[in-house]
Amino acid sequence: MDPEYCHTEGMPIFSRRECLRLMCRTGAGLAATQVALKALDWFIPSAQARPLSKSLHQAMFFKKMSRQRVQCELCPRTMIISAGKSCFCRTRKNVKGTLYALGFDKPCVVNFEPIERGPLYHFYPGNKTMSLGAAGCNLNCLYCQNYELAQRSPEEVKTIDLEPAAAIRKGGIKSVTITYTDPACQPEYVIEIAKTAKKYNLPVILCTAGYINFKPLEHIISFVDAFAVTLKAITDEMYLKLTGVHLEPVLRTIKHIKKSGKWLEIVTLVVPGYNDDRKGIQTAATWIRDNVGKDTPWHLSRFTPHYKLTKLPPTPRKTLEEARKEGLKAGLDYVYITNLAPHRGNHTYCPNCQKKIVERLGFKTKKINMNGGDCKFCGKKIPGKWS
Amino acid sequence: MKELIIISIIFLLSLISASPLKASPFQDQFIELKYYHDRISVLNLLNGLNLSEQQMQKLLELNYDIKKFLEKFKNDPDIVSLKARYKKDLKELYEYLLNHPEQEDKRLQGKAVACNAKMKEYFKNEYQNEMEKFYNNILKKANKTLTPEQIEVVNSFKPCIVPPKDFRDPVRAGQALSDSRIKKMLENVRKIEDPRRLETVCERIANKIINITHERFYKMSADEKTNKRNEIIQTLKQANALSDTDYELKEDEIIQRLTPDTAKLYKMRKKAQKDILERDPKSLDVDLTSPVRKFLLDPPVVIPILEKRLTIERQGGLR
Repeated sequence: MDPEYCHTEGMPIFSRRECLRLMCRTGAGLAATQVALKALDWFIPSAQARPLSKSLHQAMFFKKMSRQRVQCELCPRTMIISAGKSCFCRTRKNVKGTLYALGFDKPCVVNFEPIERGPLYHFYPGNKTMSLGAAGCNLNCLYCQNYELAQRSPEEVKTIDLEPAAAIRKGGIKSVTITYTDPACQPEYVIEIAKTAKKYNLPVILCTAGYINFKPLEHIISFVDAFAVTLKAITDEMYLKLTGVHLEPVLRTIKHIKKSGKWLEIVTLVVPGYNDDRKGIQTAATWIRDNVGKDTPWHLSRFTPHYKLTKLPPTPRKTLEEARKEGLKAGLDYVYITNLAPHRGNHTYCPNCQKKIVERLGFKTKKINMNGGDCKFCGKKIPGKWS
Repeated sequence: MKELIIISIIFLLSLISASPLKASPFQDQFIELKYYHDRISVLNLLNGLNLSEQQMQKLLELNYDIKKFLEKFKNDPDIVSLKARYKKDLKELYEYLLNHPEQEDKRLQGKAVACNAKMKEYFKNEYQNEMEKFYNNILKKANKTLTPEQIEVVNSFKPCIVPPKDFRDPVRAGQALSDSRIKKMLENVRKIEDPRRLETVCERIANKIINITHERFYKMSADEKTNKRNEIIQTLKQANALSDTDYELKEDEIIQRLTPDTAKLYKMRKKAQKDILERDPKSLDVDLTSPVRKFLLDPPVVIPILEKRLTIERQGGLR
C-alpha cells in the first residue's frame, strides 16, 4: 500500500500533503476571523460591553497598568486586577483597563430604622435614619451576619431601585447611614449619597470595618459626619483568623477618624472562643483609652451564630458583663452591651454622677435625661451630638 | 399549695365576677399539660428578661412571702370548717338531684347557697382587705426589683412554648435582612406579575391572616371578616404595585395593616377592666391582670424555677 495515501472505505481520501495544507488553511482562517471580530469590537462595542460602559460608574482610587491591568488603591490589599476580573471585595471590576464601581447607585438593602442600630448611641439618639448598603465587602469575617449580601457582588444580588432624594423627602428621617456591608468599598456611592443628604441638611453616618487606605479614607471623611468602626480583635493573629485581614490598617483608620474630629464609636463583636479572652479585652480597652480617648463609646456586641460560625453558641451574658466591667475598669466612660436587651449595659450613665442619662430598650431610646448635651443631674458635658 | 391558690383566686374572682368558672370537658387532661406549659412560659420569659442574680433572689423572696401568706389562709380554722360544711352541703344537693329526677329541694339549695354566701362574706370581712394590701405591697416590691424596660417586656409577654422572635433572635446592630415571615411573604407578593395569580395569592393570604386573627387573637364577626379581608387584599395589591422607594418607605405601615389590630386588643382589655370596675369598684385594688403578678409572682411555678436557676452556675465569662 502506498504510504502517501490513507484509505478508509466510504471516507474521502487525502494525501498527507493535502491534509497538512487543509489544516494550515483552516488555522489561518480562524485566526483571521478572530482578528476581524476584534477589529469590529473596536468600532462597534459588543452587545455585552455596551451596557457595562453605559451603566457603570468609574471607580475612584485606582492606577492603570500595562496590558489593561489596574491596581486598586482603595484598601490595603492593593490588588492588581486583570481585564474582566473583579477586586477581592467584588464591588470593583476592571473593564478593559478601567476600574468600575459595580455597587454605585445599586443598594441591595434599605431600611428606615432607629439610628441606634448602627450601633451609634451618642449621635442624635432616638432619631430615625435611612440605612442602606450595596453588596460586597473587602473582609471575609467568619461570623458575617450579612454574608448573603457582603460576600457577593452587586451583580449577583437583587438591587433596589432607590431614589435617595425621594426617600429622604418622604421618609421623615434625620440622617442617612451607609451600613450592612462595608461602605469603605464604595467611596463613590458614599460621596454621591452624602451630596444628596447634604442638600437636605442631613448628617451621614458610616458603619465600617475601617480596612481602607489613608488617601481614600481622608477623602471620605470630609463627606461623613459620624463613624461606627468595628474593631474585631486586638491582635493581628486574631484579626487574620476572624476576618482575613491585618489589624494595623484598622487601628490607623480609627485614630485618623478621631483626629479628624468626626464623631466616632467603636464596636467589638465578642465571639466565644475567639476574642473573649480577658487579656484581649483589657488590651483593647486600654488601646481605645490611650489612642482615641476614654470618652469614645465602646460597644460590646453579642455574637449570634452566623455564616461559618454556626456551631458556636451565642455569647453568654456573663461574658459580655465581664467584658464591660473590664472596659470600665480600664477607664472608659461609655461601655455598652448591644444585641442583648433588656440590660443595664444598654443605657448611658453619666461618668460623673453615675445616674442613668439615656434609657434604652434594645435599640429604642426611651428617655433622655439631658439638657442639650449636659447631664440633667450634675451638668457634666456628655460627648456626642444630642439635639 | 396549688389548690390553695386556686381557692383564693376562685374567691377573688367570685367576688369580682358574676359568671361561674366554666369547666372544659378536657380539663383534667389539660391540667397536666398546663403544668409544663406554665413553667416553659415562665422559663422563656426569664430567659428574655436577662435578670441579674440579685433580681432573681429578690423575686424568689417575694414568692416565699406569698406562699407564707397563703399558708395562713389555708390554716384558718374558720375557713377549714366553712369549706367542710360547704362541701357537705354541695354533696347532699348533688346526691338529691342525682336520685330525684325532675325534682328540686329548695331547702338543700338554700343551704348550699347560704353556705357559699357565708364563705364569701367571711373572706370579704377577714381577708379581702388584707389580701389586697398584701398583694399591692408585693407587686410594688416586684416592680421596684425589675427595671422599667424589664416591666415593659413582661407586660407585652404572652405565654408561649417557643419564645417570641425578640427573645430568641433579637434584631441585631447592623443586621441587614430580617427573617420575619411577613416581610418574606410581602417580598414574594411584590415579585408577582400576573394579575390573576396576584388575585389568588392575595385571597389565600387574606384568609390565612383572618383565620389566625380569629383563632389566636380575637373573635371577628362575619362583617368584620369581610372588611378585614378587603383591606388585606387591597394592601397586598398596593404592596405589589409600589415602586421600590415607596415600598421601602411604607413597609412598616403595610405590615401593621396586615397584622392583628393591637389597638383593638388593648381596647378589649381596657373594656374588660372597666366592666369589672363597674361591678365592684374596689376589685381592681388588687390588680389581678398585672402580668408581673401573673407570671412572676406565682409561687408554685416560680419558686422551683428560681431555686434551680440560682443553683446553676452561670455559663460564660471571659477566658
